[in-house]
Amino acid sequence: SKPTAMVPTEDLYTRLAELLHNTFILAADVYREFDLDFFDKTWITDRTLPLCHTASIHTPENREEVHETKTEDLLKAMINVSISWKEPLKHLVSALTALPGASESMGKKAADIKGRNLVILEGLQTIYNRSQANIEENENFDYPAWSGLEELQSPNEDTHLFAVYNLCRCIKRDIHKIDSYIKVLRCRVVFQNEC
Amino acid sequence: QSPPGKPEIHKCRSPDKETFTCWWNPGSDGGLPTNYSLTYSKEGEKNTYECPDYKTSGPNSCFFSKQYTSIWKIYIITVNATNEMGSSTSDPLYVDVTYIVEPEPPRNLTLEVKQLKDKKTYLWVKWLPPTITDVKTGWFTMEYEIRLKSEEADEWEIHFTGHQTQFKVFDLYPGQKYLVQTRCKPDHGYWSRWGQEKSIEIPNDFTLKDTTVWIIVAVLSAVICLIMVWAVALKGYSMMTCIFPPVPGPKIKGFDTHLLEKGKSEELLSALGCQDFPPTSDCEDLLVEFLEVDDNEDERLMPSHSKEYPGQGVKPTHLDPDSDSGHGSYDSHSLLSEKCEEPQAYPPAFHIPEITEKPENPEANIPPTPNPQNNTPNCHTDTSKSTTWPLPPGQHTRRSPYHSIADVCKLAGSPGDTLDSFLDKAEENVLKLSEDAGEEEVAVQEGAKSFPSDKQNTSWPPLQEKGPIVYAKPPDYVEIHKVNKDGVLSLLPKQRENHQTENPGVPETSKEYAKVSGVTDNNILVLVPDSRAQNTALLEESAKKVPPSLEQNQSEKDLASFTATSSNCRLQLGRLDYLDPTCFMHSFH
Repeated sequence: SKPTAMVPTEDLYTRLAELLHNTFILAADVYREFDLDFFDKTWITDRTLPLCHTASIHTPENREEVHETKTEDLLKAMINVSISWKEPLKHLVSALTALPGASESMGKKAADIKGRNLVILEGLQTIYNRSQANIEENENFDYPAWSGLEELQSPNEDTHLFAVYNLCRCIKRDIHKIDSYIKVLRCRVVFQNEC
Repeated sequence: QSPPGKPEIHKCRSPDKETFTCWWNPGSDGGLPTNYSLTYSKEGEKNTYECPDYKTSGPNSCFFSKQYTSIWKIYIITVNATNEMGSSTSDPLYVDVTYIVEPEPPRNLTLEVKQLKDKKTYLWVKWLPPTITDVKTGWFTMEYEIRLKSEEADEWEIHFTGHQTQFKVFDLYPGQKYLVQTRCKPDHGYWSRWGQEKSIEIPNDFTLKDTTVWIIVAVLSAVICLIMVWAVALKGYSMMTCIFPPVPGPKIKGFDTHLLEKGKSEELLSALGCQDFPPTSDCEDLLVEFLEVDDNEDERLMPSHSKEYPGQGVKPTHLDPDSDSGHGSYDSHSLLSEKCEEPQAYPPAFHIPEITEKPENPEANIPPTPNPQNNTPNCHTDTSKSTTWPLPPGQHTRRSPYHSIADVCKLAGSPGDTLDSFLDKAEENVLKLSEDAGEEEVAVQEGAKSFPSDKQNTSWPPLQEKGPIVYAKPPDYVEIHKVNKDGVLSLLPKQRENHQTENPGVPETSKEYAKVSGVTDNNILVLVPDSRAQNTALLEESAKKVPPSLEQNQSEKDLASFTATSSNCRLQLGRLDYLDPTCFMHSFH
């Protein structure tokens, strides 16, 4: 149930920034552990790193571009990224839990990331709704579908591990991306660029 | 000469999240000049590019400017070594610019020693973020650390300060010199190197101030102690009194020493709550009550007499008028009855004057009343009663002796006087007896003045007989022999033997018993002889039968009495049951 009193916007930004900061730490731990235990030349030397499934969502690539983008556009981009990870995270949790030789903590941390992503999405949507003067009821968000399930379930070990590796590195990056943009927006909206 | 050794990429770093640089270590050159080249490709792209700048970052390095830097993309970087003999390639390195950020250290570090209000010193450290990092817009979020140590120490003391750019350090040793450095780190990046070192010395001035404070406290304490000692010295006695108050003496509750000093024992006893002794007046009251009880007993005796009177109504009626007026009324009734009886024996004219004379006598006697005159009215009353035949004469005679006794006692002072008064009284009594009932008053007056009344006396022989009876009757003391059931006292005369010797013919029983006829004001019992009553009845009968003979005997007795007093005494003794010792005494004198 939602509280009757509205949470101030500055408190929403602060809470969301803190949540993203801690979630990034979890994702970084999962990536580092997989890299240490399973990274091998055999399955990556001859392969080209594919783009993440969220690469189609345009996000600023440098400081100037970030400062030139509107708040609503940044929020919208982040919401699309968060929504696009609902399905893949389910499969990542299953893969890491069933991975031979993987530690139990990897699976648990992946599950934790999956739950936090839903909370992050709710926070982003709340802030987005407050920043919109005229909310369009039937506005649809455009997020890409994930297409890595086939490789993740491949019987070929190298193909399977390469697919797991790509999911780990991509979720880490996207969490970090949302974290960075939220901190910029907080300084912009709450402190008028005087952090 | 051989091909070059395999190079190794050392590290890649981005100071501002907008540019980055990579460095490598060359391998062996094989003895020939060797050229090194860095090539890279981006994720999702098949094209390979060569390093855009080999000069800016120094030898064996490649600099990627903003133009060639993309965040949120992985760079795959390799280094090739080439000489005439051949070439070799390093292992590839995957780089994401957002994870290789290492900022410059903080700048403008300043140190300052400050003091709080309580004079506690601390070191205030301030700094600014690095120049090339954009912190205000949130592109960078920095965290800081400072470290310090005294100049002589070996280990640094590190303090994490979070996002703030200033810090206070307490608990520093005065006189010591301290070194301080700072560093910073962006979120999810690498710590910068430690910044420029600064030093500062903590002065000793504060300790001096503290010393002065303690000195002031000590001086004030000393002054206060001296003042207290001085005050105690001045008021030593009062202090001793306060410390050792005097012990109060014992006190008795309710006890007032002032009363004791004044000698008021009564108040003292009352204060102590003691009850007073019963007052003497109470004792007197008790005595009075006792006396009252005796009076009550006398009253009880009277009813018994009144009960007896109805049986012998005539006799008590004659006696009562002397004591009570109520009884007087009875006497009047009884006298009327007697008058009815007596007319047969005597003329009515004689009876009537007697009644009228009785009430007048006491009234006339009261106003003139000297003591000797008082005696005379008693005689008159006796004479009036003696007129009744024959019972009244006996009764009157008995009463008169008591009065005469009192008179004799009063006159005992002078023997001669007593004899004279006695003779005078005897004469008066004789004259009264001789007088008629109707002319008693006149006769008394005449008797006192002259002797013509003697003639009249000779004409009344019975009256002359009564006179000696009066003289003979005053016995002073009587013994109570016993008391009958009816309350009658049995009396014994003290000179009983004399009577027996002189009057052998008289029966003893008649002499021993008597009745109480009344009680006088002086609480004296008036007794009536029961035997005499019987004798009187007999006498009355004998008188009725042979009046002339009795009259002749009486006349003879009268003559004898007139002849001589001694002979009168002897006659009295012979006739009367009771003797008066005073008569014998007077006679002896």
